[in-house]
This record gives sequence, structure tokens and C-alpha cells, in this order.
Amino acid sequence: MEDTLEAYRLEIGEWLAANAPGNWRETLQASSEAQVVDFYKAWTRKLHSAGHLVAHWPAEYGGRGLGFNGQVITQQEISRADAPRPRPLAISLGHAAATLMEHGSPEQQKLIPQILDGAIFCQGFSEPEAGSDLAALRTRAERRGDHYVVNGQKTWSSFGRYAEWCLLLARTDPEAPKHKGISFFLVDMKSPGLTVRPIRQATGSAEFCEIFFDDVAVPLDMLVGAEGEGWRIAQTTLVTERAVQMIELTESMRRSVSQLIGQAGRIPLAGGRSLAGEGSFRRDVAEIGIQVEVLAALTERTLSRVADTGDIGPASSLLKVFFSELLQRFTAIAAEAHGLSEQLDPGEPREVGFLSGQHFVDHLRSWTWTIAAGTNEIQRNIIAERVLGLPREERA
Amino acid sequence: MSSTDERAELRDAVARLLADQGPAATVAVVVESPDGYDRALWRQLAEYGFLGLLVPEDLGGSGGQLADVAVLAEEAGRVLLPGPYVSSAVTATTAAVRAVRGGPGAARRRGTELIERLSGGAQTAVLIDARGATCGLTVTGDPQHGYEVSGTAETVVGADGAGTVLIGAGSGAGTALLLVPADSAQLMPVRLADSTRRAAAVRFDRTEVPASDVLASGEDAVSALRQARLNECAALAADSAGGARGALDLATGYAKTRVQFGRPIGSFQAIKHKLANMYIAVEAAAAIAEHAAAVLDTESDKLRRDQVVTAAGSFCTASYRSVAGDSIQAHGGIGFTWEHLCHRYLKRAWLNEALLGGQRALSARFAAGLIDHEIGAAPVGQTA
Repeated sequence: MEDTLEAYRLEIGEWLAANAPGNWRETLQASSEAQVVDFYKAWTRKLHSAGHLVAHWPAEYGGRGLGFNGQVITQQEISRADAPRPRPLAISLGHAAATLMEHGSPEQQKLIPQILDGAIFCQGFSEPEAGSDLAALRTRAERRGDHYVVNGQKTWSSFGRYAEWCLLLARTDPEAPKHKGISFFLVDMKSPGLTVRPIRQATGSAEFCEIFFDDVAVPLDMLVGAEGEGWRIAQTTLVTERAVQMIELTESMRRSVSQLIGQAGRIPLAGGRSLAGEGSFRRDVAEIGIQVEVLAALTERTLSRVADTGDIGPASSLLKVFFSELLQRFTAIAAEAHGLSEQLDPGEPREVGFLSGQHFVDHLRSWTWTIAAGTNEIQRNIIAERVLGLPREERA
Repeated sequence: MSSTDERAELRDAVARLLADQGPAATVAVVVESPDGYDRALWRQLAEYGFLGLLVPEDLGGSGGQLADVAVLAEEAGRVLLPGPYVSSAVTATTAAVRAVRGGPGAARRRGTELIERLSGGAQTAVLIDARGATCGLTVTGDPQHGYEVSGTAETVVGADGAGTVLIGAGSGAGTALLLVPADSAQLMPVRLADSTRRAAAVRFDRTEVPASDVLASGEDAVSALRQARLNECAALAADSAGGARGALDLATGYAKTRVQFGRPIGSFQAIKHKLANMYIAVEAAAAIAEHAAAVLDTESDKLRRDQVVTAAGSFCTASYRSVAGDSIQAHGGIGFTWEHLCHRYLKRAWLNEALLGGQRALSARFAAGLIDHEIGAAPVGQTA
């Protein structure tokens, strides 16, 4: 296996050197949102045709069976080559694929090849009245004959406008305790009665969407698992996803810190000095640089733990909080370094990775990392209760 | 020792040994004893080979790696182990081992004797780096004829009780590492806020160091002193990561049992989030401390070694300070009493940081490696 993995590393490294798109960030910045999505879909197909998209998956689903260590190599090599990650397909390749493999019926698993062909899955989890308290969700799915009828509203669905499928959590039993009455569905985004409305965010772009369900019919065979099991099924994800994602995030941070330092050397200060020589800037950048080293060490420690035990455990919450708050501080320092010139209206920035080099936009976007996927406050509750064993709070 | 499993075994062995002796419980008593640390436990550490981890087997040591030292230092930090472990078994020992590897034949015997006594637990030693203008020592002479040392080095942590003083002196090709028996100097004990370590002012009055006691000179001495500083930084980082964990464990235990307003204070979100922040700092510190030791064991790139070890020293001591402070806060009034261990963690955190030159110096060193390397040339005229 060790030999296979090393051979794979060489193979993907050489392939990326020859095939990774150049200047993709600049290209995407100048493209329409639809073009951005098309770019990522085409890149997904290209990666897959070369066998580098899901080498970690079992062969029966289109992978090479290289497992977690293979996934780490893929991510390391993509980061090293500074190639794009198929970002709009993050849910498809992560949460959707894991759920289908673990809980999907043979019929439902037929959607997996669509993922490999670039199909976008979005999440229909959060609702206007169910954010951190997700289990309070109200969207209803009522069984009527050979289908369910869904009514309600979902929000914060990334790339919902371009999605082919929605992973939906809806309440099938309003009488049951709130975690028990929820079921998990796969919904065709072209279903009649389903409308999508983009949400313009603080950054000016509109990656997230609201989804409205108005008597949307969902076939019975699109229920994943059994009725009432939705909450448990929704916890299924490649637990390793966040650890692997950290490889890219750490490398991007390193690159972005270097970029800022290069820029600071060209920002003049009074007295013929540059910002790179200014004491408080040096201390700020050192603090960030030191924490990037810490993040890299945390990531490495977590990856080796996952490789040993198959479980990321509480490190997932820890990494999320540590990374997102470091990102927020770093982007603030970077934006501050550029002063007034960074305060021009960025228009509608495109999705080109979480560090685009537009420092103020990146700073604004950093709140998606401190809020999404469980706010940092919720993560701290998880750490306090599940890791440190502090008493749970009373919950309604 | 190298594999993950063996290192886990080492951690268990260390933890058992320290738990049996109960340093955490008895630290308040031990630190008031004449030596300031438990001599019997020190001999046991030697018997286990823990004092000779950095000494190669052909010099009578256990031939470990810095990763092993980090495991030991982390456990020692967690239980506030009193004594000169880092100053003697890591810093002074590293300098001596490096020196006898490349040093002149005459001094090799003296150095080897010292190393055997250090790893065997028979005595301790301390390293004074007198190369900076701030040290207070004047060192004159040359490797062929020997040296003369005068002046006073203030607050040398680990000097009280040390049998040997190593002195790094000179600069460039004139750098030398000298061995001075402690009885040729005058050691005037000073008490530290951190009661788990002892210090002394070390005074020399035209003390002569014969050529046979010049352990290394020139590039060999520079490299011995550099490695000693890196190993010290990595060991203090690990001690700090362990200490922060000890302080967190105290606060967590207290938050589960202390009842106010009819419920354990750990059920309040204000306490939960404080402890969660402490946990994040502790885990992050442990990760970078472990990584820094591994980098020193395996990485040859000088800049990489410097940067990662400096990052570990800075992050771990800063985290230790903040976690130890938060531990006092989470305890409330009881945490501010002399009988409670909280203040001892906080004071050890501050001493660890001061031993590494403080956050400002660590930050400046890291910035130099990061920024000046990145933009190609050191902006000599530009630094603020």
C-alpha cells in the first residue's frame, strides 16, 4: 500500500504539473458566476478522467480504493501545484457521497456517477428559524400515496442556484421529539414548486441561496434510510473532510502571508522605509506566521490521528475555531496594511477560494468560516461538553 | 527510541514515575527543601535514562531524540516538576555533547566525564551564554593558552546547586565554550517567583580556565551553543504545553464540582467558553511543541529549524501564560490562594517565557526569518 501511495503521489504530481490551469484566479475574477461554476464542473470532470478526483473512494464507486492516506496525498499535491479545488462540488464530493455510500439504496447510489460528472448537490438544512438550533427545523414532508409533499423554506444553501440535487432535512412526524421526527431526502432541484432565490451577502456576491418548497412532490424512493432517521443520517459525513480541507487552508494561508509580505516591501512609509520594516507590522505578521506554523502542526497531528483511528473526534471543532479566527485576524491585518486603497467597492467578487488576495473581501468572507458549519460558539459548547465533560445546559 | 508506540510507552513510564512520586501534590513541600527538588526522584530519572536522553549511547547515555525529551518535558511541566531538568539535562548537556564531538582531544576527557555525571544524576550543570553585551561577564584569552573570566552574571536559572558552569564566550571564529567548576566561582543564590526553579548570581574574579577546559572553539563552539539554544527552546515549549494542560485540568475539575446558584459553575456558558478556549490553546501548544522537536530531529534546513522552534517557543509560552491566568480566573478566589497550585503554574509560565527572551524578542526573531527572507534582503536601514 505504501508503494501504491507513493506511486500515486508521483502520478498526480506530474499530471497536475502538466494539466493544472494557470492564472485561474484572475480568469475567474473576470468571469460571470455561471462561468465560474462551469469552470469548476469542467475541472472536476478533467480531474476524474485522469483518476485524481476521488482516488480515495472504493473502486465500486469510481475511486481507486486508496483510502484516507490517498485523499491526503490528493489534497497535498493540489495545494502544492496551486491548482483549484472543485469548490462548488464540496457538498457533492463530501457530504452527499458519504451519505449515499453509507445509507443510500442501490437506486439512490446511481446518483454517484452524476457527482463524478460534475453534478452539484446543495444542503437544505438551515432555516430562517433553525440555525444553530437546527433540530428546530419546520419544513414539512407529508406522505401522500406514492410520494411526499414538501412545504417550507431552507436557507444558506451554497450554490443552490446551480445545484442539480438538494440534500433535504424535513419533518415527517411533528408529534415526535424534535430530533426524532426528522427525515432525510434527496430532492431534484428541477421539481415543480421548488424555487431558488440567491441571497446577496456582505461581500456583495451571492453564493448562498434560499430554497422555497411549495407542495413539492418527492418520490418515496428518494427518502434516505427510514423515516425519523434523518438527524442521525445527517451526522454522516466523511468525518475526515475537515482535516483534509485543512491541508489546503494551511497552504493557502502560507501563500497569502508571503504575498502580503511582498506587498508590504513595496508600501512606502515616511522616512524612506517600507511597511515591511515597521515594528508593529512585523510583530503582527510574526504572530500570524507563528500561528500558521501552529495550524500546520495541528493539521499534521490530526491527520495522523485520523489515519490511525479513522476518526477525527473533537479535533474537528478545534481546527475549525483555530483556523477561522486566525483567518479573520490575518485578513484584517492584510486589509489594514493597504489602507484606503483596500476600501474600494469590490462589486460582486467571485468564488476563487477563501483567500483571493483581495484582502478586504477575504476579511469580510472570513465570517462565513466563523459562522457556517456550526458557529464557533456552538463549537466551543461541543468542546466544553463532549471533550471536557462539563455539564450540559438545559435545552428546550 | 523513535516510533509512535515507543514514545507513547515513554510517556506512560514518565507519567507513572512522576505520579508515584506525587510532585504535583508535594510540590509546595519539595520546593522548600534545601535543594529545591527531590534528589531521590532525580536519581530515579537518571536510572530510567531520562537525564541522558540527549547523550549518545557511546557516551553512556540513552541515545534518545529530542522528540523523547519533549515527551518528558511535557509531563514534567504538567506536574510542575521542580528542579533543573531543562537547564541541566537539556541545555548544558546539549552544549557539552556537541562540544566533545568536535572539540580538541585534551578537553574531550573533561567533557566526557561531565556528561557521564550529568546523565548519571551525580551533579547538574548550567550554561551561561556570555556572548551578549548584557551578560556582565568579561572573558579574555584564547583556546591555546586558556581564558580568564571576571564579572557577575545575574539571575542564572539552574545555577544554584550546579556543580559545573559552562560559559559560551567570544564571537565568530573567537567563540569558545568553557568548562568552569562551580567552586572556582562564587554562587549567590537568588529566589525566583517560580519556586520550582532555583537561580544564583554567578561571580567570577579573574577565574582562570586552562586550555584543557576549553571544550570547543570556533565553529564547533558556535554550533554547540546554537544547538543548545534550539533544544532549550523546544524543551521549554514542551514544558509550557504540559504546564498549560495541568492548569486546564485543574480548572476543568473545579468547574465540575464547584456549585453556585444551585448548579456546577461548569454549566455556565461563560465558564464553558473560557475552558474551551483554554483547551484549544493547550492542544495547539502540544501540537507545535511536538512538531518542533520532530523538526529538530529530522530537518536539516537551518531557517526551517529556527522558524519552527521559535514559533513553538513563542506560542507555547504565550499560551501557558494565558491558560494559567484563565485557570486562576475560573477558580475565583480559591485560585488566588498561596496553597493552590494555580499561581505556581502562572509563575512557571512567566519564567519559561523570560528564559526565551520574552515575546518581543521571539517575535522579532521570527519576523526576521519570515519577512527578511521573503523580500530577499535584510532591510538593515529599514528596521524600526
